[in-house]
Amino acid sequence: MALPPAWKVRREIWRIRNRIAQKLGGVFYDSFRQYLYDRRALNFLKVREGDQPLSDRVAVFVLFQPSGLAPSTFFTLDHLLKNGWSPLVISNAPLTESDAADVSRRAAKVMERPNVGYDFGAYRESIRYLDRIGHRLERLILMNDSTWFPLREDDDSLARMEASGADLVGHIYKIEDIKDRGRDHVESHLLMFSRRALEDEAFQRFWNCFVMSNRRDVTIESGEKRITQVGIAAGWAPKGLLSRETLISRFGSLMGVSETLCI
Amino acid sequence: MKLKTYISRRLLRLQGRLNYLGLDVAISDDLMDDQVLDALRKRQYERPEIFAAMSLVRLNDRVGLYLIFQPSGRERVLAYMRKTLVMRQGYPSFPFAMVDLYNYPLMKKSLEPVSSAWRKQYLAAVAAGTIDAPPRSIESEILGTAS
Repeated sequence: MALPPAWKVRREIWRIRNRIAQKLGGVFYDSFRQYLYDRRALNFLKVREGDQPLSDRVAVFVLFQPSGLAPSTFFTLDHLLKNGWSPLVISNAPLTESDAADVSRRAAKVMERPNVGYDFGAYRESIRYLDRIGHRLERLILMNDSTWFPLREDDDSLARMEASGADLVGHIYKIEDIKDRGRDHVESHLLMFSRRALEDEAFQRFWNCFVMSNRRDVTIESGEKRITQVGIAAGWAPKGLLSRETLISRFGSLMGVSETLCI
Repeated sequence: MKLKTYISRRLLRLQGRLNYLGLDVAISDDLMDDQVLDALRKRQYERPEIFAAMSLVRLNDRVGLYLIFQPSGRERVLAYMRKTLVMRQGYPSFPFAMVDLYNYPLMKKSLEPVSSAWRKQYLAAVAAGTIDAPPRSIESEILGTAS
């Protein structure tokens, strides 16, 4: 068998070397930046009191809309309120005065922070904040504005999640590879935690050890996928309202059709 | 039977088989007989489960609809679904069904092609009156990303 050309071998070695350097460098850089960030967080974190009470059912809603808030943001907030949640809005971009005022009317707290660590950076910030003020939670939603939600005014998916009995639940439970379940995860555009999960040492440990990164792939791996894996190990039985199996069975029940197509 | 109608049916069957084997093959509407296309379009709007089947084989593919009316079509469609769901995410693969049959409550704002295609198909179904329109603020924002 002919050996691959030398330039290909060199290219592959270079690629692997870069990858390793990027990984190691990323870990050290991110950890150091987080150390500095945490030391100064109280200086640059803006917190406003909202008009709504902060109950024991908090929905952390992460925004990143540097050009001003879209109207659907307010629709989502209204939906959370209607369903008995206290929105804690945390924006990774500065809010204009009018946007901040509009959000404040619909939220218990409104926070602004630098855009570090994507949504999981903001989730971490809000959990640290709730911990600092000693707020006890019965349930917690972590959600971001990467989706339009809900698509229907009478949507009951949040109630169905609560009724599911799972300690960690979201809209979608994603299976990436049926041979390797170590990458299964609840999609993090909306995660709902029960009190049992919130009080679990594994939950605390996850957030204490979580290192914010400004790399999307790292955030997905160490945030979105990791939290589900932590939940599986801790016995939270993470689930989604939708999974491959529910889809197949739903379609299966619809497809009892035996007529012939006449064309 | 007209020759073109006959060819259209054979093409559909061929497309179904190729797609079933995992080969993404699209047949241009120009090759299809208008009568066949009209029948397919009409049927898909009449019944939600046919709509679901249509979305089954992704983005305006006709194979799902064809397979379901074959002998043992149900099993073949379900087998196809399993295969699709192993390889792809459910919501862009079955956009109508997700919203219409499963009350799927959200839509991604992502600019990735698969999400754009999902939004386009969702808006087409809303325009056709097959699924309820979302709240006005959301609809106008989705429309904004589709243009």
